[in-house]
Amino acid sequence: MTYQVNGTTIIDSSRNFQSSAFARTINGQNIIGSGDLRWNRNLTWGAVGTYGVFVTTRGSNYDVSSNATASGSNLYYNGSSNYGYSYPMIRASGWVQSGGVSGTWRHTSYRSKSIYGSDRAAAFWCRIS
Amino acid sequence: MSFQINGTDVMVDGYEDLVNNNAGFKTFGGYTIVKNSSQSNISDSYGYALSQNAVGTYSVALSNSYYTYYSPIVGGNTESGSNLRTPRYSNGLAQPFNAFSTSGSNGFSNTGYSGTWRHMCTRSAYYGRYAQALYIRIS
Repeated sequence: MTYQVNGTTIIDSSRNFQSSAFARTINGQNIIGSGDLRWNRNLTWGAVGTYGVFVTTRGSNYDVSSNATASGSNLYYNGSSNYGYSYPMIRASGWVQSGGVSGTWRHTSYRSKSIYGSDRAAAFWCRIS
Repeated sequence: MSFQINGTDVMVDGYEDLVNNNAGFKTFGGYTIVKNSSQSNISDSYGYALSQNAVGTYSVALSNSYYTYYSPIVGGNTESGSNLRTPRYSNGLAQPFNAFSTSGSNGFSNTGYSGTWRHMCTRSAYYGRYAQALYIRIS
């Protein structure tokens, strides 16, 4: 025995609703069926929703406030093309290299400003688009 | 009154309309979508695991692999969790947000991480030392 509406099965003989009865998906997956719809964080480098650590050349005197946004092309990491060091987690002085990311990123620290006026403080950024 | 298929309830009167586990829904975060009166609602306000060594969790660490200017670790590269360390200085300090940890007997503490982690900074390398970076566990 099944339950049908105008000849279309809504509930099959095993009492399972058909996916056509619940068309909305979560993360691209139908809510009908087997398995788990656990929220999936994006795990790809540089993708929307991921975090990275960068410095930016934007902001007044490199003073970056909470919720500020920046284009990926304005995000950099502390590194020297001459001496080979690349340590992203500290302030950068004159040596910065392109972060190599695209899109728009949101500054997710409260405030980033080095005590050294011309330096740029490293901070967490989240890609938002 | 209830609605049955082959003699088994699918919908019943009262607080519980659809009978839990009889409707063919997937689970969400391990919890059944169809609810009975004794269950709390599903809250996914965080959306990912909050423990320090879970898939989807970010961590600041350094790799004990030796990366140089000619062979740096770059954004998107992966590292085994067993290779990730946290700095430990001889004076007892441990500063995850710092340039790097010097190598040596007091240089590292094991993180105890497992699985595979993705390097989430553009580029990390230093001659003879180990740059700290942002990682996310991916499996």
